[in-house]
Amino acid sequence: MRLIDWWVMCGTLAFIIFYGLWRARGSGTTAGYLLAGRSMPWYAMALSIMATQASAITFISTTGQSYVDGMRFVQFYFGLPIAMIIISAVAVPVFHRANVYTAYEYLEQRFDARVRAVVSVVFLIQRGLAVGIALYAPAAVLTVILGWPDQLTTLIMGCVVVVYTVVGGIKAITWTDVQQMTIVLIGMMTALITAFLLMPGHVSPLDAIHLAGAAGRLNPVVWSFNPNDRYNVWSGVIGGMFLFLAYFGCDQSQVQRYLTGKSITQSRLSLLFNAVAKIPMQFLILFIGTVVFVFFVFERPPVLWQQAEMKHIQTLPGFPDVERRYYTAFDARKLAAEKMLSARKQSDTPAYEAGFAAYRQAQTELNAAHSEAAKLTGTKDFNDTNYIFLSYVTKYMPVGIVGLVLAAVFGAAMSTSSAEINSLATVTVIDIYKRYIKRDATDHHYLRASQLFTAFWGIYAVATAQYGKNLGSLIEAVNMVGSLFYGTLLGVFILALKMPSVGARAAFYGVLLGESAILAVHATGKVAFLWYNVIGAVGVVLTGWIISRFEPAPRT
Amino acid sequence: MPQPPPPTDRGRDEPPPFLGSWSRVYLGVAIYLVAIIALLHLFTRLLNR
Repeated sequence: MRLIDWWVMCGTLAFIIFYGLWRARGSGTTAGYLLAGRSMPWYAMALSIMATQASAITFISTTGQSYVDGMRFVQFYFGLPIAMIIISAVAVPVFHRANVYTAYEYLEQRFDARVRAVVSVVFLIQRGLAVGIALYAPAAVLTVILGWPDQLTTLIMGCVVVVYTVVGGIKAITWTDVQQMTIVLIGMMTALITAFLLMPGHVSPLDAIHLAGAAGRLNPVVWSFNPNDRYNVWSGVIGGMFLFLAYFGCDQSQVQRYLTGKSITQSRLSLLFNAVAKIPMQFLILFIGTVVFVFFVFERPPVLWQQAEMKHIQTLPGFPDVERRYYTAFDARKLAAEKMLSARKQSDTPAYEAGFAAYRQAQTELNAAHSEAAKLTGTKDFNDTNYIFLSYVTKYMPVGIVGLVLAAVFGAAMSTSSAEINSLATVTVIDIYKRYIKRDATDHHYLRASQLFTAFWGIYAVATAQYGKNLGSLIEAVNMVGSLFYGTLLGVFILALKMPSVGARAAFYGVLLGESAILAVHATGKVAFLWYNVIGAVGVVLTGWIISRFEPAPRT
Repeated sequence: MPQPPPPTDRGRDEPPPFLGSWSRVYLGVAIYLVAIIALLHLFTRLLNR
């Protein structure tokens, strides 16, 4: 990184944070600190919701994923618009009218304190596990790219997040999210345009798209159904819908964003904006990855993207052979690509088909050589896709743009972490501290408690991120833990919102039995985790409903 | 205990600023989803091999 990139990155981030803190003036009450005094316009909430969901690892990992696997990951988001419609129609008016700080507070109004407590604790466990990883995961990649120790990267990022989250509360978070999301979108658009401009002179954008398609990378829709395959239309629409219903409807880190709305209309508009914008945005991010793939059809990529591992395997006796295979395949793929483009321009179909076959064959050999290199690392399930995009950005992008894109990545990491810390603090204060420890204190007391618990969860996030190296193999496990609980959360909210005949006891035991059903399915290891959300929600609803049938009718 | 501030129009289910009713807005979003899946299907069919 050159000096100007540092200026761009630090200047952008500093501006975002100071702007957020400036907008957060006047958050001197608990309601102001935790709900922005219910004053937020729809566009601020919309971008905050988007920024909270799109973590840095989403940008880093998604581009890498389309580089190696194409664009089919976009199907993961097909269920999101349906989920947003349901939440807007059903949950938003109920939460607004219930006049609550947290979604779980409503569960006590509808059921009892026991259901609220168990769901709040489930949220604290689940988010508490994830919050350190949200800081560490992008830091681990940035560490390799920037050459800093990972503890330093997490510490700097964490401290900045903690300061503006503690000082400014949700207003600062929301307004920094707006700026961060704007920078992310500008950064991504700039990355896409620059990627096209960096192609060799004879390769037009249409040629690049053609080569991406010929490599099977332009595959955003796959209709074939396979319960073990995470990314097809069916798992996206059905599994994705349940996941996003749970995430946006029951997870306080998202619910709190739209509880800050001026009115039901403003909150609904913020969710529906995401319903419309999310798929095109994900498509754009994935498309950047495919364009980067085409860039490396003409430019030599490293054998491994993770430089530390690359340096390690270079010392091994098996490496020269793997490297030779890799670059032989690279040269063959480049030659085949040139032949395909030339044949296409001359409308020479036989030459084009011959080039196409050679291109696909060379790609297969390249993948095989990369797998061999991965085996040399000695790491089980070695995966370096998260390093592709940032390696490309830092090595090839023009000065200034590098700083902007890295600011976007840092911004995305900070927006997700700040929302998680803020929601953990809110649930701790409102659902635990105020409910069970100090019931009748002043507003000032709860404001101070909110600030203290925000600082606590922030320090906890930074501390757990310091051990991120040891948690590295748990990133997948944390995602799994989320899916293990989301179905249950969704199930209990379906009972609360749509099944008035189900009482507190039935809901409580429904939660326990529904959760048992998910754990039983998880133990078989035969179902992709996206489906756990469906199984959990249906399990809670069914068991809750069955138990309610055997309960005496409530006295009127 | 502090209560969240109740804005004057909190409970009111106002009509959306466009399309006249929320049902129409939801239908519009659903149609948009179908259209975008159809477009992406076409994108796959035309450009991917």
